[in-house]
This record gives sequence, structure tokens and C-alpha cells, in this order.
Amino acid sequence: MNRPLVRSAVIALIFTCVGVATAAAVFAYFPDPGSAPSIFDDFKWNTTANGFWHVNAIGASADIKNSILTLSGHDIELDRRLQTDPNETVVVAKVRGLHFHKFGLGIGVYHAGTVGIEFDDDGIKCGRGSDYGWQINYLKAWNTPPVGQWFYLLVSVKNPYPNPDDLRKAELIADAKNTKLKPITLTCSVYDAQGNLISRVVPKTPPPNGHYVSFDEVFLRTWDSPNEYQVDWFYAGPPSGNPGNAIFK
Amino acid sequence: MSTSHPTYPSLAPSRIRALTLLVAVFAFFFAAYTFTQSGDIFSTGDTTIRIQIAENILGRLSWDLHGWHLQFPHHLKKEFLDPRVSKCSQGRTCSTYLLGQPLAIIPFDKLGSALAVHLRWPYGVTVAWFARLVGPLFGALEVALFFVFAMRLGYGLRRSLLLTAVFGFATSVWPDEQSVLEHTEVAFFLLLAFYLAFRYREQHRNWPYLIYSGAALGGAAITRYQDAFLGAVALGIYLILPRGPDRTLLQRARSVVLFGIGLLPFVAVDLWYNWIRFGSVFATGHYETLFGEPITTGAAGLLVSPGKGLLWYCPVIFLLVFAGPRFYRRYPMFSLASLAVFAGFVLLYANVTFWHGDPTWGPRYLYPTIPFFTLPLGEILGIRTRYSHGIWAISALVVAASFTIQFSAVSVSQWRTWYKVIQYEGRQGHPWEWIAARYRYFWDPHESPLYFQLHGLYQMTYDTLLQSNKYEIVPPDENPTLDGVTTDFAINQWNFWWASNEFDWWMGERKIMLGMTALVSIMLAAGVYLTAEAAGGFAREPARSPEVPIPEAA
Repeated sequence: MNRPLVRSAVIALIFTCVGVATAAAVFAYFPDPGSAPSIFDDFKWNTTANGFWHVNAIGASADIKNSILTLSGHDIELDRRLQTDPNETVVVAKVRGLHFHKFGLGIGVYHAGTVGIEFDDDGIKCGRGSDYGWQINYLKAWNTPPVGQWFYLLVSVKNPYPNPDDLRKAELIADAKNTKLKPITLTCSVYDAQGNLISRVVPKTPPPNGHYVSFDEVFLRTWDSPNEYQVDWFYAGPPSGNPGNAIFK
Repeated sequence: MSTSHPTYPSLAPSRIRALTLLVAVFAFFFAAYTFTQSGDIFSTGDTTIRIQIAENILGRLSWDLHGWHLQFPHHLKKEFLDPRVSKCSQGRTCSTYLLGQPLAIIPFDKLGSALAVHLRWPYGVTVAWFARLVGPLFGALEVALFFVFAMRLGYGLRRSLLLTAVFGFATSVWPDEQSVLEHTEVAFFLLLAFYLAFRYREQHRNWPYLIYSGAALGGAAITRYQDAFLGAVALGIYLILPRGPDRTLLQRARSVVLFGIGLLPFVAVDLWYNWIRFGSVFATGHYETLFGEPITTGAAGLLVSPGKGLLWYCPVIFLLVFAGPRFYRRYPMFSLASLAVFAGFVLLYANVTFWHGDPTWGPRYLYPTIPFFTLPLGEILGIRTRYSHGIWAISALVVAASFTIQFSAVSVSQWRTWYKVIQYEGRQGHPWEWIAARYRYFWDPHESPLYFQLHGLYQMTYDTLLQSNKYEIVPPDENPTLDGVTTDFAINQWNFWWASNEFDWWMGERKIMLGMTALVSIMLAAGVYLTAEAAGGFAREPARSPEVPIPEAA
């Protein structure tokens, strides 16, 4: 056997492997083009099947047909990771219920708490995790849910410390004086199909205890019993990119 | 006994080759261990606390757990309290854990936080996953050091590489580093301390090696001081035992003092850390009853119980029957010191009420002793008798069985096994409670985690190959504990991070593929190099020079 040839072949193979590893690491370092600071889905594509949404269903289904997302059945959750805007992030969707029970959308922390809006058989509620557990404020209550009627649901969260230096200083002060950081400002709004504001709440007592910097996912979900809800479009990101800006009055 | 200094086994003909070998072994195992990392990054609460300590140090140079307020109702029994956290000075909450692992986590935490922002990944989960790379890091360091030790013992390159592969994949080192508990870090520092002392005592290195050895044990002392204490006792015995380079009692005492000088700064760090957290250099924050288990029960549980016995979790120990006597003849004093380490760990932890360390895989407190009973196994390939082939065949079977056990532990979620244990206990009329003092599965072979884990491997393989859901676990509606296990942990998925549904979501399929490609390529590059070296592909002469003769112990 030609020893130098074998040695050269081995070295070439090693360098090829190192090259492939380096190339893979470099490509992995580029951020995904699909992870823009905002997300918008008008359900023109099968985004529950292609991985855009992470779907966790228990006795339920998420079907996309004619640019409408239909959530039907028992429990289903659609998540999408999101990089929040430094100042304010809104989550908006055009939604209707064909069979009401429990539906919600909002923004949250991976494996932890959320803030959101609930579109249920007893009304529309603004919800948030607090130091006293899950709290809600009614935006609108009803005895007979408006089956088939479109609404725009909007959740907005404002960062109390848009400057990271301010947050760091506030943390040091809170640490030293054993006080709390300023809470986020949560606003929930509901508009009718023509874009007229029906109701808005800014719940403060007790304040939400979610930290803005930790928000990293938005979600849509149903739970508890047979539901049938439809979503025409969904947006999450800075308020400037909200498609509802052209509609809301 | 010769007074001249003979030539001792070296790693390679040149320093650059030795360094390349070392880097290749480390790179191979770091990539392999990272490749097989668990997708379950939230289940080890101990690691999560250590990550919190690291982030408090990194973010605010603070030793307490920011934002934690311990409030236990007065009527609560001690067994319900969490021994991992305790009230510390100024009414704050501190962890009872030491600094070692949190300090090692800091660079990974920093890297994860930077990449999370750059790649727009969810911050918390990204940081948690990167921080957990401290497990593969110390696993790979331990294995690389083991390889060096094997070479210095005179096994030669091929035998050392084979033994290192056995150590890395067919002992509990693999599931231990995957757990990201601190035992791997302790094991590395303990082995390093012994390696340096071995070089001083058996291979006539200079006295600074004793200081280095003490400092290496210091790494263990700031990670788990009780393990470092046991290591110090065994190392002290090793240095005092006769037939070493120190002829007189005074010389031996000098060696122990030099070793102590290396260790001292780390003991001081431990005492200072106690003081800054709990106001006294001797306060550890522990309030629970630590000792009291009958020593025979604890030792039997740690060594031979069907549910927790080291012999069954790491069956390569059985091969000491073949290798032990030969190794003892070559290195009698090192063998005795190894035995002292092992006996120390068994005797101490057998007396601890929490000897099982549950919920976890196997007798984790004994894992730092694994290198000491694996190193002698290199003797087996040197056996040249008429029974050699039979011994090698038996050894291969035992290694294969041990590998299968370790592979099942890393590839299938261990929470799947806990589900089965809880289910079994429930059927026996014992409703489950997550209170370690009440676990009772250790002595019933029918509910041994080994059995459930291996069965889980079969079930997952069956469902994957046949694309069925025959063995998918669905909890009964009326059992909230079982329901909790299935919803909190992905027990119906393979345990590797790249097979996890959740990683697919936040990391993205493309990034996962690129990560896997990079890791496999590193394994291939390192593997090809090591194979070529073992085959003599880089030797200068056409024919391989004979291996350096194995020296008899001094």
C-alpha cells in the first residue's frame, strides 16, 4: 500500500470534515430570514403544516381553507416565537366564533405566564398573570354569544424600561430596597367588524407580573370542550406594522 | 528496585502529536455528548438552580437567588422542605450549592444570551440549553483525561483508545454528563488530582506536581466539598503508602503538606462562600437530617439493589475479576488508593438519608469513582493465556450489555421510566408522592428503572421502525400525577434534542440540521484522525515501533 498516499487521503478527509463543520456553523450563525421582528399570517398558506406555527392539539384540529384558519374540537394551541419590539408589542387577530366556549390569544413566556384576551361563551375578557394569580377584566359580557360575527381582538404590552440601562439600574435599586420593578402596561381592545372600538381596558389592580424582556412567544388557543372558532388574519409585532391601523377608527 | 529514572510511557513521539491526540479525543466526545444531549432542559431542578446562581453572579455580582422568597408553613415536616435552598443573610434566599458548577456555567450562559438575541430565538430556553453544555464539556474533559491516564499507565495507543471508548460510552459517565449534575465536574477534578499524584509518585515527576494535584482537588472542593474530602483522604493515603519516591516519614509528610498547599486556597473559597451567604464560615445552609441511614442498607442499595445498584447500572465492573489482579500487580499502591476512594464514597453515602439521590439515573453519588474501576480494565486486552479468547469474548458481551444500558438511559426519556414506576406503585396500592424519603422501588426487580428503561428503548424502537403508536403512553384521566408526567415531559419522543418537537419549534428545522451536520462532521474528523493514529498511519517509520515496555511499579 502506498503509505504517503493513504496519509494524504486521511488528511484530506479530516480537512473535508472540518470544512463541512465550519461551513455548517457559519450558516447556522446567520439568523433565519423568517424570524423578522413581526409576524403576519393571513392563512393563505398551510402554516399549521409547514412548521410556521407550533401546533399542540388534544382532541382538536387546526384547518386552513380559503385563507381562514378554523380551530375546532377540544384543546389546541398554536405558538410562534417572537422577538419583541423594544418599546411596545401588539398582538391582533380578526376572529369569529361558530361555536363558542373558550378561545384566547396573546403573548407569553415560554413555559411560563402570559397576558392575553379571551373570547369565550360568556364574553370577552382581558387576562393577565399577577401576584394574586390569574386575573381578568371584562371587555364585554354576553348571555348569547354573537355566533358568526367578526371581531378584531387586540392585546398591547408596553415596556416600562425600553432602555436596557434603565432596566439594569432599576433592578439594582429593586434589589437594594427590596421593591418591585415597574409593571408592563397591558391594554386590551375589541373592535367590531367595521373597526369601531367596542371596549378597551387597561387593567392595573393588581398589575400584570409578566416581565416585558421575557416575552418570547405569541399564541392562539382553545380549550376545555367542543369549540369552533375562525381566524382571518393574525399579526404580532410593533404597533406601526399592525394591519388594523388601516381599519380601526 | 531501580534508582535510575526509567522512561515512562508518553502520549506521542512529539508534543504537537500529543496535543493533537488530546484535542481529537476531547473534540470527538464533546461533539458526541452534545449530539446526544437531552431535549428535556427543564427537568433537572438542581441544574436550573445552578444556572440561576450563575446568572445572579453574572448579572448583579450577587450570591443570593434574586426574587426568591422562601416561605414554609410552620406545620410542614422537614422531609417536605427543599434542601437545595435556604434562608441566608438579610432575609434573602440562597442555594446550598457551591460555586464550582455555576462558575463553569457562566461562559455558556453568556454565549447563549448573545446567540438568543442574534438568532432571534426565545431567550430563556436558548440560555437554558447552552448553559447545560457544561455537562458535555466536563464529560469530554473527563474522558480526555482518562485517555491520557490510560496512556501513562502504559496501555499503548490502541488499547487506550478502546478503553476510552468503553469508558465514554459503556459506563455511567455518559448518562451522568447528560444529566448536567455536578458529579461529572467532581469526577474530572478528582481524576486530575489522582493523575498528577500518580505522575509524582509512580513516574518521578517533580514536587510541584503535588501542589497541582492539591489545586486540582480544589476544583472538586468548590463543587462538592464532601467528595473532595473523600478524595483528599484517599490521596493522603496514596502519598503516605510505602514504596514511593519519598523514603522517610518526613519526606512523606512534606508531600502531604505540599498537596495541602495546593488545596488550601479552594478550602478558603468554600469557607468564605459559607460566610458571605450564611454569616458563618461553617454554616452550609442545610437544615435537614443528612445522616442516619443504616450503613448496610445504604451500601447494599448503592451497590447491588435491583433499582439502584451500581453493579447493574455499570456492569463493566464485573470485568475487574479478570483485570483487577493484573493491575494490582503492576500498580499496587495506586490500586489501594483507588479502592480507598471507592470505599470512602460508598461508606459515606450509604449513611446519608438521601443516598439514592432521586429522582435520577442510578447511584449518582458514586459516579465520580467510575474512572478508578475502569482504568484497570485495560489489562484485559493484555492477557495472553490459553483462555484469552474466552475472556475477550465475555468482556465484549459485558461491554455490549453495559453500552445498551447507557444508550437506553440517554435515548429514552427517564421520565418514561418514572411514569412506569409510579404506575406500578399505584397498582400495588401505594399512591405516589414526590417525597424522596418514601420511595420504595429499590428492591423490587419488577419496578427496576433498568428494566423499564430497556423496555422503553424496545418500545420506542418498535414504534419508530414500524411507524406505529402501539406503545404510546396515554395517562388515565383520574391520575393527576401520571397526567403531569406526560404533559410536563415528552415521554413519547426520543430524548435527543434534535428529535424534540419543542426544539423544532424554537430553534427551527434548518438550524437543527446545521447543528447536527456540524457535530457529526467534528466526530468524523476526530474519529478518522484517531483511527489513523491507532493504525500507525502517522508513524515516521514504515513499520510501527514496538510499544514502550510497561514498567513495573517502583
